[in-house]
Amino acid sequence: MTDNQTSDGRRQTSEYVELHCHSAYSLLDGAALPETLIERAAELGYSALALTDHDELGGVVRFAQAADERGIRAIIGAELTYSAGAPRRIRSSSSQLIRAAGAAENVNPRAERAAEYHIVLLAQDREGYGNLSTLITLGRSKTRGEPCVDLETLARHAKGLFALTGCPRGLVPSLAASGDVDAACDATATLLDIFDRRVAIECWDHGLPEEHRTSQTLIAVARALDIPWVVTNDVHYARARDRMVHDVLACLKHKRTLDDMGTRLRPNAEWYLKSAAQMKRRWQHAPTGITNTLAIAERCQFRMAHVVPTLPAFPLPPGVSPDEYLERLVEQGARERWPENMDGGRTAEHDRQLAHELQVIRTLRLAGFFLIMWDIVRFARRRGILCQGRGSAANSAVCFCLGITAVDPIKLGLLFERFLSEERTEAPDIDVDFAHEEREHVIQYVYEKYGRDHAAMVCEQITWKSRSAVRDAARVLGFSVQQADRLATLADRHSARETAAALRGEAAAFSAGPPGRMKYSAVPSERIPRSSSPLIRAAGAAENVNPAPKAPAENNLLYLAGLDASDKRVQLLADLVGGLHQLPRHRSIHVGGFVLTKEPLATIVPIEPASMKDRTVIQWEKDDLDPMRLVKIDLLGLGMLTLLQKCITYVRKTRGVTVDLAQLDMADQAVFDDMCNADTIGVFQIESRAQMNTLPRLKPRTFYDLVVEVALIRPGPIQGDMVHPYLRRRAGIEPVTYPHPSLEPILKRTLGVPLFQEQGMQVAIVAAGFTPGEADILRKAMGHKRSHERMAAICQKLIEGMKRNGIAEDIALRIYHQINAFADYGFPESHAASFALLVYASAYLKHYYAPEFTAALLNSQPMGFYAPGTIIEDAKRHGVKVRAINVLRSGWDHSLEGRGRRSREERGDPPPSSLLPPPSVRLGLRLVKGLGSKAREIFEVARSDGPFTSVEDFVQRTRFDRRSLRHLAMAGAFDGFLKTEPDLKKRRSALWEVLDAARGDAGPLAPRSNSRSARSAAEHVNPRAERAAENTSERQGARLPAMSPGELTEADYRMTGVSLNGHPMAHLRALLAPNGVLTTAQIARARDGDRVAVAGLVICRQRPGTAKGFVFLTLEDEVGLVNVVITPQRFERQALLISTTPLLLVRGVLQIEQRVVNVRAERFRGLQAELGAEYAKSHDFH
Amino acid sequence: MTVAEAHALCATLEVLPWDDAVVHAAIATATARFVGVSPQVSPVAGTPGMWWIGASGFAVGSHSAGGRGEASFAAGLLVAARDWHPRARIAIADTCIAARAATWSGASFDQAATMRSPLTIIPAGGDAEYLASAPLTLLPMDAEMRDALRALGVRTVGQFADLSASDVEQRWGDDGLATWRLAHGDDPRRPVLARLDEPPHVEMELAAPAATMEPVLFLVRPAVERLVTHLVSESRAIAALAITLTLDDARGALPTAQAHTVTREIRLPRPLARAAPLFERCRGLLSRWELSASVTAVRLTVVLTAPFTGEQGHLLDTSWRDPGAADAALERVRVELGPDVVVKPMSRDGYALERSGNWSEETDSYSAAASPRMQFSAGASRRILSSSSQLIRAEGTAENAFRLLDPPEHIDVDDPDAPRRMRWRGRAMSIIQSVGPERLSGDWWKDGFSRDYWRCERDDDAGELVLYRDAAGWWVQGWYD
Repeated sequence: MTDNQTSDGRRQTSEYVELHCHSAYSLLDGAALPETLIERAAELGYSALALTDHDELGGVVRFAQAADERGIRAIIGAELTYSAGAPRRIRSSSSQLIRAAGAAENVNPRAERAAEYHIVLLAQDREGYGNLSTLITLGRSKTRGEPCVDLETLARHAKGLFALTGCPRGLVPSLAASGDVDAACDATATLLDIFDRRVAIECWDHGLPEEHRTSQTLIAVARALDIPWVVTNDVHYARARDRMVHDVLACLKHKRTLDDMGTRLRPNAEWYLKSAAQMKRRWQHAPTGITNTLAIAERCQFRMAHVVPTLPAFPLPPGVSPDEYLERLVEQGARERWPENMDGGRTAEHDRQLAHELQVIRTLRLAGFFLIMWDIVRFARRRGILCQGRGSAANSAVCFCLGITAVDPIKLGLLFERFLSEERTEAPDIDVDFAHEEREHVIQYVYEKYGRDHAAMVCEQITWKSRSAVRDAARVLGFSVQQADRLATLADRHSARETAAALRGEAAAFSAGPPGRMKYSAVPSERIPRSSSPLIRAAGAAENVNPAPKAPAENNLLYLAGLDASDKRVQLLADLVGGLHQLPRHRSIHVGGFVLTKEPLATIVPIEPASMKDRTVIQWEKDDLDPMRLVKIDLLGLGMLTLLQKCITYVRKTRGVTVDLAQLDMADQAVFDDMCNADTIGVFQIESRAQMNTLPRLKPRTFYDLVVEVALIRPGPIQGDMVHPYLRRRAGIEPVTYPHPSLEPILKRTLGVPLFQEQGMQVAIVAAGFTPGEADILRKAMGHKRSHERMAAICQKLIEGMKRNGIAEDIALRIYHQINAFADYGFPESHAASFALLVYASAYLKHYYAPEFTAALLNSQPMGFYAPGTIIEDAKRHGVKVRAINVLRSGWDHSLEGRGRRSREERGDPPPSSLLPPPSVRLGLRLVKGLGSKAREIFEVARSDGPFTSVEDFVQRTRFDRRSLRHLAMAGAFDGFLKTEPDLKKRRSALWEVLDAARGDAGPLAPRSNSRSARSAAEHVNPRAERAAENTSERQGARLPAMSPGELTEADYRMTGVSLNGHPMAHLRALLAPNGVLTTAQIARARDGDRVAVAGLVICRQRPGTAKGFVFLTLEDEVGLVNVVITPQRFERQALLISTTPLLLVRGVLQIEQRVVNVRAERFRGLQAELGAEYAKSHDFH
Repeated sequence: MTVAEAHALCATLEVLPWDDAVVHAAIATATARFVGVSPQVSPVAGTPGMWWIGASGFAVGSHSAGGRGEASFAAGLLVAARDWHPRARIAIADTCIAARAATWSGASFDQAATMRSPLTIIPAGGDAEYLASAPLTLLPMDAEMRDALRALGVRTVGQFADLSASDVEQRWGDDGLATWRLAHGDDPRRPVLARLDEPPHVEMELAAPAATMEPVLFLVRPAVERLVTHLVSESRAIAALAITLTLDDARGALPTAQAHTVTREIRLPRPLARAAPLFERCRGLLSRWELSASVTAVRLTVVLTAPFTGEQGHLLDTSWRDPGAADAALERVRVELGPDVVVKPMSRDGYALERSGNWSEETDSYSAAASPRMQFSAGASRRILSSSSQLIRAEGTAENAFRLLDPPEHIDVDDPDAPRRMRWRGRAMSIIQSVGPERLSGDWWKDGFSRDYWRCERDDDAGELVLYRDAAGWWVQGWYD
């Protein structure tokens, strides 16, 4: 019997330890999250539990964390796949055992041929863990998705590991099942040699007689070799009812429906985590196997806390320490940033701050980390890659001096402790954005510099979200793809669990928001530890719970999807969707997270090749890094930096002007005028519907206003009800007040409303007496989804601290709520400031260099919020001349065509740039659908040989396929060859020529020479038909009907997604206007409260998690944009129409508040018109 | 649409399997009706429900068909067609494509659906003109060509027809040209004579009306032999045979009426060229035929023939098997024991015993005969407990065929942990050895099950019983012979 101390001091005892347990990290073969397994183990009174996922350690950190919280010893292991030489001839009964007992492990016929087996390995000590991680790394390094190590590799890395012979797919069990006891003994003896007798035979009983018989043989083998045998339940899910989810996962793995799975599914639901009593009862005839589990658990003393990674040493000049070197670099940088004897130059305050920061860095031994970051940024700069630090690093004057960040933290009064403090247990977070198209160079530089054994990217575990869960569950149940898609569209919520609730028709689901980002889904009330304090419980009830609208009487979603709710499968759908909630689905690469270690990284965490070429990833996510004290550096790609880089280049080329972003006039009111007018399409961060709605109210006039604007429209401030108070105070509608006088210095610059994470921390320092480090711990605890206990304790401390300082309880609760709301989902002020720089720079360029900005924005796609069509419409509204795609003039990218500059330069008399006419934007071939990178290469090579002379010349030189050529013709790219044709006939004539030129051999009626004699010779084939067309054959091109303007627009949208020949709405206006449908311009001139009708192309659909189920649409017509607000009830009623119709007519009531115009929708109607609207991209529910 | 998908839309849906034989039979029946109106009747391949029917010689003003014009001809066809479908439509045109288009669209392509008559007649020589306004979708062509024409603004058949042949061929090759010809009403398809040659047949009158089948059978045997001999001389075998009985009832009493005949057809699994098995099939058919009146004559018609290949031999000769003989033998079994007794096992992968195999009525007889697992009783032979193949021998074989009780029968068992004594069908039995339990559960997405199975050896050495226990008690599900 073992015992263990729980976190609450309770002493736990257990008579059985489960040593073979799979979590959902055994992808598609485990149906429980590590936390769920621990939770269940705690309920069952386990003192220890092993995690043994298939060739995987991805779940071990969260497993260990959850176990620590529950006072359970986490035994770390894995079920490894290994090959044992030549295939053995195992009798059929054995493979049947494998098939039935391990059916859901999905025995791969290929694996059987290659004699691959499973073995359970448990880490006894740190060395064993390192070996386990290395084995998994080696196993996964060969063929992606088919991990396997050979016996020799296993032997080389066996130290510190304890082996169990594994599931029925183990070598020893399969031999035992086949009745070949001698061979089973031999195989066991081999393992005894490899593991130096640290081996136990594993037996199981899932109610299958053949397992029972195999176990008898295995016990006989154990006795013959005098080694222990243990019982496991080969757990694959936490509770018996989770078998359904496991079956679904098995179906997804096999790409089959449940009906087609047959015996590929496990025969019963016995693979769940069982209590010691259950296990003892089942093994009452042989209790040794139960008690032996305790002894093995005792041997496995390794804990994740034993892993202490270190950073690689930065190469330094001889005799110089990292701290000294960093100090020198900072000093050098400080001189450049704050030149002495200048306004805003270096002062004693600067020196004090730098000294403080360097002292903290020295204490935490992080100088090497800063040097690494400096080196990476230096590399980027040398390569001309635009980069800028973001996040809390901008709070550091050291980072500013090193050139990592661009914001002066001293000038802005930013809190360094938000970035780094001695109390912090984890490494600082430095995120650097790079121009996204160039980022790969930086990534490969890091790999090269530190070596792939010491550097790898962080993974991102993609989990089942709302739509994917509905689609997969429906597919597995046998529904069609169309039904599944329809249901997914209708049922779309934040998370799979909320979607399941919606499918059940539960009322709570209606308060939920949109798909995607799970982290925004938690309503504030969920983040308050309800059990921690009656005060907090009261606060949650009083302030945070948003009353949900009443659910309709019937299950609307199923009804709307046309499903029969009385069908059992339809009824099961909700359970399956809920069961998939947050389970890992597949592994992806984190957006930019890198880890570097001094020791081989594979001894800390398994590394595996990523799907992207030349990338390797570790099996841990970013949330796993802090607990493991692994330093992550984020090398992020930012489209806006690419845009700025390109725009600056274009401006230099077209106008001869060099724009220096560091020297911009940051108080240019013309630029701020644009922002106040919400004229911000394409501008960084403030182009979204929500931001554009706020800008006319906030009326930014200074750089700091932009910092506020960036931080304001975030889930944190929105959830914390801070947006409207701030805007009202700014507008002077509401007086500026403070929760407590002591907080005025902290909150003054944000008008008494806390908006930034630093303010939350400072409030904790001032109001509750926290140290800066404690305040940061508070911030982290509030935002950390995995640590509810820690959060409860620190929140209690905060409230008590405020009470001690004389702050009334209700005020303390209010302050707590405000801090809590944006703890994780709000921006740090430094981050907002870094982004605000980019906001201003992009707004500046858009204002003064609109053509270049447009070209850069289009050439940086995909990025931002709007599709090219909307960007071009906006550019045209700003007077930018946009010219159509033309193979005679267009390149692959969009380009700029200037007028006059060259000729004047040639005369040697360049005029001032302001006198030059602005260039026009020539659209590039990249817009044409169906042309990919290969087409680009071909086109550019062909073009380098000189301009094309005709359609036929183009066809001959590029050899594009007929489809691509057709697309080019219909996009108008060949119009330049047909100057004599009327505009409305050019495309069809071009297509007619393309079809002719692109065809291979000629036929009898149409020899390639197309000679009349040849034709007449052939006409006997069908004289009657030929006679009928006799007079027309010479002029076929001319007989093709001209396109209507609507057809031209349709062709544009179909082939390019944009149109220079009129917006689709322009063609419908004549029909709509008599019916009272207004343009967006007319809407803007109407009065608040008017009943209006407006129609347009839906370019954006949003259902933010913070909006209590409200849906927002942006409609685009020929003159502008308008926002539409839809209540949850109205949306539910017509979800499919609203979610899928490209052209929508909306009737409703106009709301105008502080120049912000919205239509509160009441009725909807889809407009059917062949104008290409269905080909326009919309930005939906992102 | 999958069955599951359909059920999701309507839980109470009744699902029937698609039956080619039924469809073919219906087409044949309708074809026979049309043949009564015109000799040229061609069911359109791949389009059940559409026929090309020759209408030559029925033009308006013609008196060759008893004074009927095209309109009355079409009306006659419509009467026959409405037996097929109440909303059947008839169109008369020079070409098949125009006729087909006219059945869709009526007199013109602009006509509203509600205005359309079920009869449309396109004047002779007017097909091209009629088709001109038809949408381009009428013409068969590949997607690339359709897309290209759409992009060129060619929306109607007429616009396409206006293009020159050489231009079309230059861009879309032979296929495009063929389509272009269709657009001009140049359709090579024509209805053909339904059956120009009298099929091989033997017709015999009985000496006296017979109230039983015995005299008929007496005549059928030599008739079958004659037909087989005739066809073998032409290296043909019989694939389908029709037996027509002429009945002596009131319907044939009127002087102008034709005799009342009833025809039934034997479709053979494979062509036969031996009289004996054929006769057995005829005997099987006739023995199930309930007569409503005395038989005065019998006619055997070879409906379908096939090339005669292969050797024939004796059913019981183990060195080779004669499919035809096996079919005949099984037919006799059917005659003796009833129509549903010949079944074959169908294996399905699953854990639930009663769902992992089933018997389906044998239609493809030889394969059933060739199967060593052929049983002459209801019940399934399957891999029983798939995970414990040694416990219960895997595949049902001649040695351990499993007899499934469907539904399982309730029993009383003394010991809930392992059955030792049981009471079944009023009889107490001792179990000398039991192996189990094997826990099987599943099908939770349908009508799920959860059972503990035992395989038990009885004291009477009468085969091993398969018992299971579920929430409702103990059950016998079957036994091994």
